[in-house]
Amino acid sequence: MTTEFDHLLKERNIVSLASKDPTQIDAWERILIKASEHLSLTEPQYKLICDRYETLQGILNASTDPILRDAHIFVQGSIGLQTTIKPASNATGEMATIDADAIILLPYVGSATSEQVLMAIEKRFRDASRVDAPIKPLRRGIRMVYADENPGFHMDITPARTCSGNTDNKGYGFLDVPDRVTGWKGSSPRTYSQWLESISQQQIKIAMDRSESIALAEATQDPMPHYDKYASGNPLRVAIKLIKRSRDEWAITSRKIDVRPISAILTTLAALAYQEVVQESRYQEIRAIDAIFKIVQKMPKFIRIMNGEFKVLNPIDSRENFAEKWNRPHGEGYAYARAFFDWYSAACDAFSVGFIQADTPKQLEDALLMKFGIPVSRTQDWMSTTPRNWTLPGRRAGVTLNTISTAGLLGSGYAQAKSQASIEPVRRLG
Amino acid sequence: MDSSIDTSLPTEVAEGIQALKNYFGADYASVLSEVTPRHGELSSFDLILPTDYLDVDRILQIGFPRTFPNKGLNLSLIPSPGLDWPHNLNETLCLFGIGQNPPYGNSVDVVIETMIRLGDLIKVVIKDGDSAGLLKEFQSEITNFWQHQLSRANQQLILLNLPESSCELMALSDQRWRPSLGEQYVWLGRTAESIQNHLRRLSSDTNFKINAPGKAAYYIVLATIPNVKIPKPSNLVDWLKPHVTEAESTSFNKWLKESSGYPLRWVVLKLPDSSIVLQAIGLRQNGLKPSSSITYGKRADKRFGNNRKQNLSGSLSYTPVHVIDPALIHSRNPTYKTSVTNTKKVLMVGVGSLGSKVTLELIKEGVEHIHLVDPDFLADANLGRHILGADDLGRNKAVALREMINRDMPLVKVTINDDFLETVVLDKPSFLEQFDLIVITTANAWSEAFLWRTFKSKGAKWALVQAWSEPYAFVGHALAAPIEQSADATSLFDASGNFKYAFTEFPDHGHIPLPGCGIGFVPGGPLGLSQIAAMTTQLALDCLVDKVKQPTWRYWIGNSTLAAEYKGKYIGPATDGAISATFSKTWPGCST
Repeated sequence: MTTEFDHLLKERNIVSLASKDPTQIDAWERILIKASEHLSLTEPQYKLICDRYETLQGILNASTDPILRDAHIFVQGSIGLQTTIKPASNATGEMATIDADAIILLPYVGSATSEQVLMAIEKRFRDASRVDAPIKPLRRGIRMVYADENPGFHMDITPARTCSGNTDNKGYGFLDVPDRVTGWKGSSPRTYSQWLESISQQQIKIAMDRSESIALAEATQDPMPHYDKYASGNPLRVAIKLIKRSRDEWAITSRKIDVRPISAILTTLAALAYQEVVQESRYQEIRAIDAIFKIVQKMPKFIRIMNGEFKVLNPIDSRENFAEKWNRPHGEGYAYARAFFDWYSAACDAFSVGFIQADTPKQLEDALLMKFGIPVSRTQDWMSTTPRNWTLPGRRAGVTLNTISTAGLLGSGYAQAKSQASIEPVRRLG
Repeated sequence: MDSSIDTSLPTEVAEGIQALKNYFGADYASVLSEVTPRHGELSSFDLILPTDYLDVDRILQIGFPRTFPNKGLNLSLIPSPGLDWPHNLNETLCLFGIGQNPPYGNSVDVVIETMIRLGDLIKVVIKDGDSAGLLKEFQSEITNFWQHQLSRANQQLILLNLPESSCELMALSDQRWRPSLGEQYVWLGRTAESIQNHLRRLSSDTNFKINAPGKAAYYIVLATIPNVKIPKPSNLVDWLKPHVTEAESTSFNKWLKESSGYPLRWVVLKLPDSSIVLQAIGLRQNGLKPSSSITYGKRADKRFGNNRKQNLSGSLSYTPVHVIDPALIHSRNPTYKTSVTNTKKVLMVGVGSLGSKVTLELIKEGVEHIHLVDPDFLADANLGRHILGADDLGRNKAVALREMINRDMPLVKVTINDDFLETVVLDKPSFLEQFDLIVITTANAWSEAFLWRTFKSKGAKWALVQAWSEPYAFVGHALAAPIEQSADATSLFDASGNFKYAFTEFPDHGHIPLPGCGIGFVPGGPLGLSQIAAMTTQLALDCLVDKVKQPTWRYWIGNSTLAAEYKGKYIGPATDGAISATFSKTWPGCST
């Protein structure tokens, strides 16, 4: 099955920037970054989710269950990596709520089985009177759905224990997570996040305030990434957010929601690509849009096929293959793999849409709506604030706000209309 | 209609919005965006403008007011270019100047015209645009820009006669008690004598004398237009220097120093244009409040002239300036050449309801030398048709009319006799020889016959116009005899002085007696009299400019059918339905 995809596992050129109008490249980069900001959580939204983590920590602290003693909740996934995006406006079901994940490190699991741990967690949160969110059991944890919040979000909580030999008490290193089907299963969510963070920091130099970090570290709950840091994008975060949203829009419009590429795959591939971009940039400085494009271009080359199986491994824990589902039998895995490559093709188009050469702004507005879910009014706002002598994204070279405005004011309408100034004055005196 | 246009908007506004979008074509959305309505507007837009000559990117805020299209589009620039763009005043873009009038018509007309005018403006303010055009636009409305930067002073200036070149001006405050004006008026004149003469005419005080008027103003004839930005007082000379001759600049600077003791001075600028456009800038000394009024009297120079200051500090203000000069006063009435009419002397015999109107119109047409003779007094019943008013009741009509002319048209030289013409001539037999034209409107057979028989029939050089209204003023007549020709119209009247060719008949010849010896009146309304006065004035002027070559009879016929309502009868020529018509002929049964 994998051979069908062999030829796709390589770098793909989205568009040759060298052939494009330099000001249009500037303008499209600006739009992409703005689009990424638009997809990001706002500060109040971020704080709302933060507050929920604190609530959950409080619930755990009040537990008398020995399994949950000194339980330590920490952020996982996109919230920790600062690549969370708002749900697409046309999304339904779980896609309509923000995905906020957490790991609960349990230092005193002892010999408890994975099922016992999962039951303890579920029971604790069900018992906690303050929790009014519905709880849904997941294969490796529970899901608490805060659908009535604004924005609505769901939190997937995965309990974990440290592997034998791992003495870290902050959740780093190898962990085991309970799986309702296979029992304890190896995972390294915290170290994975650390790895992603270290890669993203290779370009971005926004350091957290140390005193703040120390103060927050006093709490049992790990500090949430500071908002400023969260909101300020770097090429990797910009790319990941746009990639994820393009995935969502593609999945919705092509009705492939169930088999859509999971965020862990997209994020891992993007991070690996970025790692290479950083290396390349040591020899030649590149701009943000170059980096974003290269990230997308390089993603497929980090998908491995080994022994007829797709591998997108957790880079710091090869026990974990994020593309595990792609290898499922009976054609089920094929659908996942096919979905990835179909989405990827659509994503390449999405990222290059700023270079279509249309006669009106509508095509770009429609494309940004269809491919990234950007409202037309928002696109219009961004376009209207483009520096006036830059070629506009989605337009022919040389078409700028200045040329459009000048054409409107001094073009055919101006030339053809008959001005009242040429009308002779009324020949009457009064 | 574009589906994005709010259907709840009034049709006119919706059509205007559509026209705006259409004007910019398919690409309108790139530069034109609808925004939340501003300031009570029904609909508001932001239009992206091309980068301007200052390298600034601006937005034009376009608003459809509630009264659109009767009121045009609201336009304002963000960020405001202030004085860097022409037509931008009070944070509003005013496009009147480009097309003279505001855009008018239906919704579409107003929008398109506004956009065309905006295009005209954009052509000159756009980056790398028409810089010569930009300068021209600034200069075409330079006074607005200057005024915009200056606070309005609490004075107005009246310049008596326009000097031909740059010069110092004398100033005299109007100290007449006129509280309703609310601000001070100051006369400016080239010489003390010019102001003195003006005041003598206004006050009828022939002994009025100005001893040492304040030299508080300076008149500058600009060769070119100074910068749009008003300078600080200390830079005034530098600001003007490039636009006047070296000698003018030196003289001005000298005046500035010599007059520095005056707390308030004015610089009157004449713009370099064939039309007369003046702009006065007030120079107020430090410490003098804008609301303070300074009175410059007859001895102002003695009071302020020697109190010189070292520095030119203080503030500048905008002061309206008006000019009393025949060239300006008559600049809009070209029918008769004032260069001809202003050399002629006219005698008005009788300044009653008809003669007073003729007098005023002759003056407005440029007659500058006029003598009024009338022994009569203004009565209450005259007010309904005479040009004088209630303040003059009981006064001699000639005296009162002279006062009115001196006040309203002060450059006219008016002399009077408050007596019968015959008496005046008896006192001074050569009296009539000074005139080019005599207009008699007494409707008095004796005085009329006196002029015809005693003088005109015997070769008097002056032209003679005799005019009157028939009772009820449905018909009026004017008889003229040209300059240098002998003529006698008395044969056209019967022994009682009634015109033999009258067109109306009324009981008792239309005379209404009043209790008293010989007292009575002939009815006639102001409208008919105005028409007859206009006809008479025209004939008089034609005589003055020598267009009347033979004895001429003009008559005006109004709505003759109304005569029956007053028990009268119209017996004149058929008017073919005309209700106001003037005819010109030779005298009936001409006896020249």
